[in-house]
Amino acid sequence: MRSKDGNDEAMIKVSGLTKSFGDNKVLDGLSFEVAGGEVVAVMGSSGTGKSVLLLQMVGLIVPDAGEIEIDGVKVTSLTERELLGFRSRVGYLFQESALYDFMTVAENLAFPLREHTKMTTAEIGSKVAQFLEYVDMPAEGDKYPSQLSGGMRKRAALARAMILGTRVLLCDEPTSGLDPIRSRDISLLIRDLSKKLGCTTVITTHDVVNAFRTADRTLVLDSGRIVAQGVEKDLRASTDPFVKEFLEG
Amino acid sequence: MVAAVAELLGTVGRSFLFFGEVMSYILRGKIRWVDVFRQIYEQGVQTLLIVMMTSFASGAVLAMQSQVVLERFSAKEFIAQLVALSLVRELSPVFTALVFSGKAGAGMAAELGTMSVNNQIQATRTLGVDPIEFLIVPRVLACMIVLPILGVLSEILGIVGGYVIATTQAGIPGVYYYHQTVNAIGYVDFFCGFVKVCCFAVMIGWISCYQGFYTSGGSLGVGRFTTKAVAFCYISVLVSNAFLTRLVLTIWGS
Repeated sequence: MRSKDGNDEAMIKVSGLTKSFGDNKVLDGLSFEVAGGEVVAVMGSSGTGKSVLLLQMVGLIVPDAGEIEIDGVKVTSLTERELLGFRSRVGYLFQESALYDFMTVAENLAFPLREHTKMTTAEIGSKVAQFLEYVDMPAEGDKYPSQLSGGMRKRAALARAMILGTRVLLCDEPTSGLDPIRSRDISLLIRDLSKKLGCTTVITTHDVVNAFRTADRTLVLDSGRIVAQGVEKDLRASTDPFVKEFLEG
Repeated sequence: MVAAVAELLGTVGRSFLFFGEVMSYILRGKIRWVDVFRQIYEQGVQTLLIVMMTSFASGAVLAMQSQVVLERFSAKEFIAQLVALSLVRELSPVFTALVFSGKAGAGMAAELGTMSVNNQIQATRTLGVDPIEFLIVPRVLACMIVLPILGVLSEILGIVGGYVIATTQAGIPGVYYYHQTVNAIGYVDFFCGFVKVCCFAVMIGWISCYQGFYTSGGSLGVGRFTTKAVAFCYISVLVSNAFLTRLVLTIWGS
């Protein structure tokens, strides 16, 4: 896969990934690559292992078989201690935002900086202000997550996920629970920020419209495998019955 | 049946691993003191008033009942000893631990449980931070600091409660009550109670945080795991109290 900037090197390599929960095989030898700077959407019905895939990419779930390599690091062979260091290089946007309730938005954004950098308080404050500006929330820093709308929480969580200058961003159902306008806004924001900050981004979603709107390439997952991939035109032309049914709703 | 036993053993094993991990952080000095002080404040504020009220009332009730019984033997001047020794050796540590479980223990379990079902604990891991170090160690350590302090405070307030009843209703002079109390409590009596309350603190911190940390099942799960945390704390405190009492009596005698 060649990215827009001509970089042949894949930033993310997933090969032969298999995961079962009891008798339920959610991933069945899944393989794909994502080039540096590329935005890829992984689409599929609910319960097809999209979130499980992302959690395996940061080592929060251990696969039964297969390998994941991100930015040259074999995630599947890291120890728990090594995973902690590795995860600080990967941004993760949760479906529920997962901002800390007991911290303000600004404190949530400052948290990873305090943990992983030697920045001064002033530098952290300036970086937090910059990222609040990126997500169009310059005046919301002093609010607690419970005082924000769902869309704002998603945007704040996106800023927290990217504030360490992460090279890889993983987004789990970013439009879930949002109205169509907020869904469009957060989708475009993810795309714009990823391109602006040079992030390689993987988004799991079942929101067809926003997947095509956000991603350079879309993978369709069914029965634990990729059944189709490409841009919107390729997928619309697919003869796979599941892909046709999924896209047509 | 076999599956249930296996699950129980798995839970017990996991809870011991959890406790071992928490203690390893504490023993290695990997402690976030700012968070510990915040937890001390929160747990202390949550329970201080209720511990003060229950302790004072317990001491007062103990003095009232002692007066009734001891007057039958013309020995009401021993009210002070009975109140002081009962509170210091037994009642204050247990009462304080039970009150603390119901307030701060439940609070910790519910807070961590909510974080767990809202993926905040997973998010901590994805931010490259160990949630045990960030969320659990400060709470357990704060428990280990706050509960013994509350235990001693409870003993003092219980004695004050007894003093009020003894001086106003039993007609015992205040100075006499004070001297009888001071003479009655030896170091051994104090440490009997203090060792117990320290053990209870470790158990409450461990159980409440463990239940909260592994909460699942959404908002229903938060309620269920919080209730489990409080019930397990109560059982652990009362059952271990029997063993601890035997232990301290064996070590320090009666």
